[in-house]
Amino acid sequence: MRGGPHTLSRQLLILVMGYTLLLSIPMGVVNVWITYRQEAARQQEQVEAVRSLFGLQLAKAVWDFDQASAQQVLSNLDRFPALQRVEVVSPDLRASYVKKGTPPAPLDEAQSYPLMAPEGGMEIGRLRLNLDAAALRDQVWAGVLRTIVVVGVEMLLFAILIFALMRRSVTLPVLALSRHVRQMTPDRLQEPAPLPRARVPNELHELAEGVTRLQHALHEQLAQRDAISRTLEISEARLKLIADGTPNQLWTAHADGALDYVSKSALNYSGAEADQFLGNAWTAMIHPDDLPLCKAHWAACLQAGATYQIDCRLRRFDGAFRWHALMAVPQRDESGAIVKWFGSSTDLHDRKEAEHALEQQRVHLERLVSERTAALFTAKEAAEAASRAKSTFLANMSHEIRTPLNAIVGLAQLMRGEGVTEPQAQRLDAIHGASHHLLSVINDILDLSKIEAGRMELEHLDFSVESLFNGVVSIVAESARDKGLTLSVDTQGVPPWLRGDATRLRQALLNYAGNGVKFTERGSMALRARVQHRNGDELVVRFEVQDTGIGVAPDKVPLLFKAFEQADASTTRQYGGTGLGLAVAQGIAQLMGGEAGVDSTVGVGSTFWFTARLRLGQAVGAAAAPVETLSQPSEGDQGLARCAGATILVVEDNALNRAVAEGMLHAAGMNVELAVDGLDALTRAQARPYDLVFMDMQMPVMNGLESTRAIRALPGWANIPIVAMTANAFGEDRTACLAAGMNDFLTKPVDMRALNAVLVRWLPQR
Amino acid sequence: MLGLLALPDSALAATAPKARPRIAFFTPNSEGNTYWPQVFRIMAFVAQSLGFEFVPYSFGVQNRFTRLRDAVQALNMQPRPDAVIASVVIGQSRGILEAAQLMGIPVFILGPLFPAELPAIGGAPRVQYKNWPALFNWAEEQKGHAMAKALLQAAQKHNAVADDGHIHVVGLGGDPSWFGSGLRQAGLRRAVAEHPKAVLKQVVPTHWTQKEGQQLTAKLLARFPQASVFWAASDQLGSGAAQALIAAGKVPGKTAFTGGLDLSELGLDMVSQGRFVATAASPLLSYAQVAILVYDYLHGQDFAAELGREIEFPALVATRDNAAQHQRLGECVQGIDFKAFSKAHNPKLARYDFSFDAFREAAGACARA
Repeated sequence: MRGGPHTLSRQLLILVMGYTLLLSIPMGVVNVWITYRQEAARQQEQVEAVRSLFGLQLAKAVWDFDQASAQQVLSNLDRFPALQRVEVVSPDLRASYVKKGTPPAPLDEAQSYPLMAPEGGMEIGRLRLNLDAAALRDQVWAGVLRTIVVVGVEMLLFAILIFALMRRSVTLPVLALSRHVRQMTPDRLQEPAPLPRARVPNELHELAEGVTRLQHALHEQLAQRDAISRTLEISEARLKLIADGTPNQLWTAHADGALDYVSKSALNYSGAEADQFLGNAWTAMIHPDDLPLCKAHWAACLQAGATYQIDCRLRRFDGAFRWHALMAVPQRDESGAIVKWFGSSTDLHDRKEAEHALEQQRVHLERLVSERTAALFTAKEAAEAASRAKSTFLANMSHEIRTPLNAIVGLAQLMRGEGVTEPQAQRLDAIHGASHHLLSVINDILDLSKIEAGRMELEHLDFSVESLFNGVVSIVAESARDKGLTLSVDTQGVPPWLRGDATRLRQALLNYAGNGVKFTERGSMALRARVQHRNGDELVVRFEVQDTGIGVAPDKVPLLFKAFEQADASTTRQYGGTGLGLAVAQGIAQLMGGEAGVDSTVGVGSTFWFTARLRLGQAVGAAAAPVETLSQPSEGDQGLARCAGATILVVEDNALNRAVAEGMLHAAGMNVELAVDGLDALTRAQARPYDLVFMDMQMPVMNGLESTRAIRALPGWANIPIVAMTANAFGEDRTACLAAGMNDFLTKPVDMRALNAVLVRWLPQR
Repeated sequence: MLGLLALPDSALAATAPKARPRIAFFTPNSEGNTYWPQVFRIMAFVAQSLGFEFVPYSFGVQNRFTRLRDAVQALNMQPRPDAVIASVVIGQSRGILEAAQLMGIPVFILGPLFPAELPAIGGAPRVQYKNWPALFNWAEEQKGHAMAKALLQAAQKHNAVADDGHIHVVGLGGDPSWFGSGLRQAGLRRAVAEHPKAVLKQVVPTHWTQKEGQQLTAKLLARFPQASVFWAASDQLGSGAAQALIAAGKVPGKTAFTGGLDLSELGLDMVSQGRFVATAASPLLSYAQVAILVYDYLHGQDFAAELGREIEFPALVATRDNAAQHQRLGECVQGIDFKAFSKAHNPKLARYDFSFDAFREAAGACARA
């Protein structure tokens, strides 16, 4: 108490004085430097003054050889205390000035200035001056001492004033505050801290008020601490009850892993005392086989602060080792450092054994599944191989049938055109009909095969609904008219333009309409389209063909849409057909997201229908008819006549088909040259140009695609039409031909009208 | 004009003329000076002839303030002079006139005066100071010019030119505190400016001593080794210059050319010896003229009516051709009866005649021998 206030005041005084002195040192140094500079400048000013005042006089004296005048002028220099020695040095005179009290010494380190003649500008002597360093030093010290005295006194007075003010405003209030804090006890916490007497509140007021607030806060915290302490006691008792009552064994450990608590349940389970667990004694409870892993994992978790989780065997009170799941999580303080571990062990021995049994069962099942999967894979491979073989077979079959069929159809057409008798004509028509029937069978088989194989791809083009129905009607109209059937079309409510695969729609409708005509002896037939459902641009359209034919018995309906089946085997015999048309139509409908079916009454008639998901289309002009754009007969004999006389190269390895093609082209008025394979064609193309080339695909030596590519590369052959004439009737065959550089595609058997249409389309008009 | 004539009358009426007036003569002096003693001797002859008491005072040229103090003391010295003839330097005229006015002493000033001084003393005699009857001037500029011209002619005649083809001229000037020194230098500068080949290198001020002439010439020779013309503001300075030139191996009159400005015995001797090209000045008998006019004035014969209040004496140049003539007249001064020139002694004298020939005539056979 005695030393406190005195010490603070003394410290304050010492600090103020100390800082004052400390501040005065650099100030003094700066002052010395500034004074030195100023005095040096003043000395130099005196030099300049002497030069300007007496320089001309001295020069005049030297010029006039006037020693007396020079000396007289120099005698005035005692008014310039900075000058110690001054000399006029000239060949004609020498005069000097020495300041009183200056010891005799040579004039060294002097400033030297020329003395110039008043007339003529020549240098006639020099004025040498030596500054009085002692005078400079005296001046500096005098200035510094004066400053030190004045500033020192000022700073001392200022320091005393600061000290007095600080003591009154700071020290005394702080001492009062310090006394208040020192005498503070818990029961005096609500006494406010003394406020300073200063009228204007300052930081000490804030400090005193802060101390008061701190007291209040401390008071409240003490009250809260008591309450929390009571709550903690209750909570701890409850937790102990839970820990002791739980079937799991609970424990806690220090940050270094040493156990410091084990629950009663653990002691009961193990039949051990607490000291057999605490610290690192717990390892004795672990099965010797599991202990190394348990310890290593525990050490790693302690190191990394990671959750400890492991299964191991613990000894029970009866000495049996049972599987337990051990788990421990770290508790961290605010800085993230681990302060405690909380752990538990759960007996999962029974569950573990059950899991083991289950695992064995699972492995067994997995093995079975693998075996079955392998078998299925083998079967799938075999099926895919069979499918590929089937596709290859179908393609080969198609090719092999079309090749001779081409000869048959072609020769029949040629014979028909060469003039025959009526009975011969009827037989030729029969040949033609039989050939087309065979062709339709092949086409249906191929389509069905594609549908089943998922290889039929749909187009998505805008088409006119009216054109679609007109195309169908134009094909069946003649047959219907022959049988006296009334044919009607109704597309009411259907948008005029739709978007989808018009070719396949036409094929499905044609299959229905063809059957209708075939199985209706009298009455009528109606072709209809209706919008069944619409969602924005998407529509579901229902297409129907209704006839007044023989109808289908209900028990036969399920068989109708199955391939190679008809309602009755006698039907085929009576009406012909393969029964594939309905299956193809159903396949097309399903590809288009729809379905197919029939409503029929025996003796009354049938309504065959199918639905298709289509989109709204846009008008694209008359060219967008739902018919194939290639190899369709579209020109008349008039056009053919205009291109007669053209020279055509026919590339065909089959001699009979070469003869058929030659005959047809001759019949069309063309000149024909023949090539037996692709290489032969290339050789001929190199030799001369042709107006058009008909190119077979499958040929020995060089096939049609290779030959086309080689011919296209020849000079002058870029724009000469090359048209495929092939028994490869698949869509991908057509794509391959166009990609190889061909312009058009004719499938065998070649229809003469289609051939003529190609000629008209590609030959230049003469 | 009538007014001006009235002034001397009133001044003269104030004091009755003495039978033997006391006339003081204030002159400068310097160490070894030979000029002023020669003047004093002439004045003494005049005093003896006319009958006045001649009291010469010589004041050192080093300190003009001391000179003024000494002059005022001389004025106040008993018995007081009846008149004063004073050769003044700068700042001296007003002080002497003031003091003399208080004492009632007329002062005859030997000029020239610095023009800047004139306003302070009324600009001319008899305006502000009634005791200043006249100002006597010698043609100082004309002297300097005539001498320089003679020197340049001689140098050119002997082709004494420097390497640059010019005649390098240096000068030994007089005491700058006397305005006449500046006028003499002006004459020198005019002559140099008139000469096509002359170039003035430097004029050094002096206190008129022969020693200075010698020393400064030596230094000037060192500074300007190719200088050939050494103009001097007095015969004594010129004599010193001649000594220095000879000491430096020059031959006066052939390789180096100098002269003086006093027409003194020294100068005339130097001319005769060939060491001076010439000496130029008014004859020393001009001082006799001054003495006669002052004497007459004190005796009621005011010369101003005839000669004016400002009188200038023209300069003559003495070369080897006529130096002997001047020398002879100088030697015959003692035999001149100066009363013949005074109106006080000859009331019937209608006009003053102070010509050279008049003095020669008065000297009689002595001057003609």
